[in-house]
Amino acid sequence: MKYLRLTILISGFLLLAAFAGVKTINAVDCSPTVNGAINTVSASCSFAGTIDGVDYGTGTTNTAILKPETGATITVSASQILATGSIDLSGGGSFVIINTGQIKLNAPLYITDADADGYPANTTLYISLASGRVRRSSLISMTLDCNDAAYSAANTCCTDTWVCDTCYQTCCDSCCTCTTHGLCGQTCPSCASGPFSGCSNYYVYGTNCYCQYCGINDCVSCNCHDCNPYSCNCHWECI
Amino acid sequence: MAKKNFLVLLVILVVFLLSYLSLKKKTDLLDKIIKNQPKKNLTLTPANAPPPKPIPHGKQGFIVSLGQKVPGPRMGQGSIDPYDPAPGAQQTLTIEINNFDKPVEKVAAILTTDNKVSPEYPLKQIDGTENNGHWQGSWTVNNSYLHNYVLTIKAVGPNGTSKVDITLR
Repeated sequence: MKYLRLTILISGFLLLAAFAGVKTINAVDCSPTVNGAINTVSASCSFAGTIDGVDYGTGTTNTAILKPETGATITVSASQILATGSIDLSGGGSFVIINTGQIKLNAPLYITDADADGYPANTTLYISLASGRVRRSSLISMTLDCNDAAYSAANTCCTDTWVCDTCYQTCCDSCCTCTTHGLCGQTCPSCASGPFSGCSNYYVYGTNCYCQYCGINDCVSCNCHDCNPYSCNCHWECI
Repeated sequence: MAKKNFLVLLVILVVFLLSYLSLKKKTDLLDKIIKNQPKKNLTLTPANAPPPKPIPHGKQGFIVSLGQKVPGPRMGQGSIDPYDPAPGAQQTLTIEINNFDKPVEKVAAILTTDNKVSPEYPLKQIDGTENNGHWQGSWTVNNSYLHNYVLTIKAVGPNGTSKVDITLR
């Protein structure tokens, strides 16, 4: 029994010594914890973008404070511009700037958000204002805009399953500029063949043509499919 | 009974040793194959890993700013030569260390690459006084650094140890 315990201990030690040699540490992109103007970084990292940093404030003033916590080092990479309001080195964190890297103090960060709905077209940051750019700090989220040419506060974009016309507004908000019958963002298409090839008021859904009006001038073979009492038009489906 | 137990344990030990030697032999063989392919740098990269970030070439300088509450000797300017060594090539770190009225006892570096954490490389003082001067160390980079490339520098003095982790990539 004495030998058994001793051998198990020795075997365990040998196993650990033999197989526990490989350890991988991941270099990480900085992802500061934001609390108002204060941005703290808890682990050593570098920011990902060529122009990157933290942003807070309005106009051309950046009052964000970037602070590495104790034991953390923020590395500014070569050729990188790190924009911030100020940096806080009063604690136990550190900064390292690689050759040609720069820290720009009180430099606002801008990002492309052409429709100004709070969602960016991409993640590229700038330190200069230009048409279609807004302050990074004004964004609702860094989630990319599904359509940066159409305002949507909820960041929802239409798909071809949405129908819109002037009376039956079931479209998503980016498609409500549609003034003619048809699919979102499109004018009423025409069917080259099939039962509605001679009709003038219809729309295409998938591969089918549907009547847009009931009881009006055309599409005699349609039956009422889904009448909406709050809409001025019934939607009829070809059967 | 004791003799029987001893025999069982002996068998376990022999099986373990044989397994270990067999795995080691395979690892050695793999290392040999890798060494015979000097132009290929093997790395374990996830299939959906993002493309590696660009890095500068050749000798690159850097500057360290330690926080007020970081203990130990202060670090100043340094250089890494080259920043992007070829597989199997040597890399040299030089850094200025100042501990003002106290001696600098030791400076060391650890290089973390894609699949390896190096041992602690000791740096040697190349100029200055016992309190202030440049320290230098060299090592061979034998692993890829496409996604993980971190250089840790430690400086030890009687007033504590200062440390920075430079994210090189």
